[in-house]
Amino acid sequence: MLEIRNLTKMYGSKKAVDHLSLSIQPGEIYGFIGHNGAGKTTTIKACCGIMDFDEGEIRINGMSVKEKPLECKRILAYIPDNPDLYEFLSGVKYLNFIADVYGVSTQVRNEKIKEYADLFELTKDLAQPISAYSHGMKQKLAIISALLHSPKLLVMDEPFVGLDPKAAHIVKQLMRKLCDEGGAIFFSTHVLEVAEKLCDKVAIIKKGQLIMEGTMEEVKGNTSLEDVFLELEGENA
Amino acid sequence: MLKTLIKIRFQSMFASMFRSSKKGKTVGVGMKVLMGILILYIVAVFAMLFGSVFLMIRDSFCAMGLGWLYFAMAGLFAFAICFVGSIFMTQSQLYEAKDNEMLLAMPVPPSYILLSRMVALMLINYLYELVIMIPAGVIYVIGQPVTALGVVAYVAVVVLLPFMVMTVSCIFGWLVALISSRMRRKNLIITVLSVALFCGYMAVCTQLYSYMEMLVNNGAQIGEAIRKSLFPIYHLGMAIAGPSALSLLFFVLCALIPFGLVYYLLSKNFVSIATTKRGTVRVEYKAKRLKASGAVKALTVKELRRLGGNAMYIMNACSGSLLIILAVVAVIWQYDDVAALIEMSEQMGIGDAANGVLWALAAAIFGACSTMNIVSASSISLEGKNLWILKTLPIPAGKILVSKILAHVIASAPVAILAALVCLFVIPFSLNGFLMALILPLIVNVWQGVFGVVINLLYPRFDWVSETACVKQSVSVMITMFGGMAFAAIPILLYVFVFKETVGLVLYVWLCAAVFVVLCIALLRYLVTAGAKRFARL
Repeated sequence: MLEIRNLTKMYGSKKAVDHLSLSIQPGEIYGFIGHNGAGKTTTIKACCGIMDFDEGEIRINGMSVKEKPLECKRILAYIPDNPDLYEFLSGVKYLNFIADVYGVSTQVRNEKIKEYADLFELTKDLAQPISAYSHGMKQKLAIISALLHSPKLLVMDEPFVGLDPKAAHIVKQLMRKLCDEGGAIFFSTHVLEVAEKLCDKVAIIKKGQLIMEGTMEEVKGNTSLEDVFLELEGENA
Repeated sequence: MLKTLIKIRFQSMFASMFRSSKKGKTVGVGMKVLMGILILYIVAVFAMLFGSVFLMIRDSFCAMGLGWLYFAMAGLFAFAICFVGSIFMTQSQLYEAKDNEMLLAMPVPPSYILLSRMVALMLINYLYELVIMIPAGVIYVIGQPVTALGVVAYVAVVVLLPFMVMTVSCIFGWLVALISSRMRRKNLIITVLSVALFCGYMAVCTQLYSYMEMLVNNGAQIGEAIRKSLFPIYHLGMAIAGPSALSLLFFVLCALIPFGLVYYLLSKNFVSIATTKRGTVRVEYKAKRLKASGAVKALTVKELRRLGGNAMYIMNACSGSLLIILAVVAVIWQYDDVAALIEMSEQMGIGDAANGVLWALAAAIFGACSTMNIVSASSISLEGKNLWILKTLPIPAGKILVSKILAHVIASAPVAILAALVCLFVIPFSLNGFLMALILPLIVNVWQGVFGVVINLLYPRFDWVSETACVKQSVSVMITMFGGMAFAAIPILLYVFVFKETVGLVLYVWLCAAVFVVLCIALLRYLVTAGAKRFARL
């Protein structure tokens, strides 16, 4: 579903991502772990076609992000680490706007908005301007908008930040459901316990380079993901 | 600490004027010089306008022993221009700045935060004020005797008048925020009020000379009315022209005591004022069937909602349309004069020719006003932190840019069309003339939309603290605004100095329309090709 080959991104003379390669198959929840400034967000943005990169190749469902950006964007959804949405719109107008742009049919958008808004207990607030939303409510709205067009690949940057425990639980369930239906998820997180329980595969990145990757069992063995991460951080310090 | 806060505020202000991209690159020296020249040009135009007014009233007032009224009028003009020019910035900088919460979380006294913002706003007020007070002072010195106390009083007035403006702006901004927090349709109400304020201001400006004549003829009565009802302004005038030390003292107290009180009250309540969420009258969502539309339409509607939800944006970006409305109202108001003019031309046997000229003039006026519409000039910058949404959408960048142009045209063209339709009732019908008055302003509006997007694409700015800075002060807005003036002035000057004898006015207007069409096509081609690539790299 997502294939990253030798991805390299420079900021001036600094390599933010250094020949990174990884592959995500349909049905997989793939965790992306690393310290602050390791290159996670840069990688994620490059995958979504919102940041150009210097070397390498990113393919989504076999299509190159550079060559066919629009086709790639049609089947993926991105949720940023900070849900900056159009504050002058109400929640429902924002969702309708996103549905219009992705060409979601009238029936499907009405059903999905009702389903997800009820699930996240956001229905009553949909008429409110987004400027009146809390951080968590904006995050919920960003998640609903990402799910409206039934993406095959969901790319998320720190998706649990700002969510209450109930909403976080719902998001985890939705993530699993999307993958069970043949989709794939690539997300970054600093919450290693969540990654350990939720992810099928995990990659650890440091200073732009991939330092470990594999199934959760392969990566953590008999210890915890936290121990592995801290050990790797120490080794390469 | 206060010095640091003021420094940051000034850095933010100048950055919004001279920094262009999110990478923080500053605009080139050539561009800075060009902007400086253009700003000086505007200042010179206003200074000359007010200078001529002061020249008109000086001798009459002084001859009547109403020298104080001369400076009182200068003070009133300066007060009005400062108030209209800074009211939106006062509201957004003091009460709605995005960095309020961040600064309040630091060990910084709220009074310092407030003062640093006020100092920055005062600087803007001083700039507005000097455009009026310098010509007033110079014209007075040229023709009237000056005393040392008068000069001291003049300097004191120049220094202290912005304090008065600040006091009123703070109270007005606070009242608007307070009232609007209790209303559901607050944006609509603020927009209507702002438009009314702007129209009133423009109506006064357009009738300035006749008001001045009225002032000259009825100086004594008006002076008496000001002395009784606007006593700080009376003492302002008396302090300089008297000159009167007592009036100066009274004016100083009138400027500083209310300011001190407002500053004290605001600083005491700054935390609650800055952190209270306004405009959140709770509306519970009642599910209704949502309708689907195309992507470009959705993007265009989104742009229009951003515009419609922000009175300050409308006021600054649609001033050309507002002027057209004023012009149309004025024509209807003065219908008898226009009708008499037309009848007279028909009696003189030049009816058809005169009608053609009238239509051409209407087209030229509406077209020139349309160059003042700059909705699209900040439309890319206004995406700010929301830019990621557009960049992740499966829509070609060219369509995104076109939607911004469409929003500009939809926001500005209806007024131009309406104006042409109104002309049908005023100017005798001529198909050629009507089409001219209809099509030229439409083409100019499309041109301004395209031009604004191109300039904003070349000089985007995403790290603004308040939308006001983005809409009023950014490089792209200034270039588009001055560019618009040039696009209005160049064809007029070319006609007056080059083509007047060789090309008829009607034909000339059509030729101008054709040139704008060619320019539009050229820039649109750039936008959907190289421009789209540039947008993708933002």
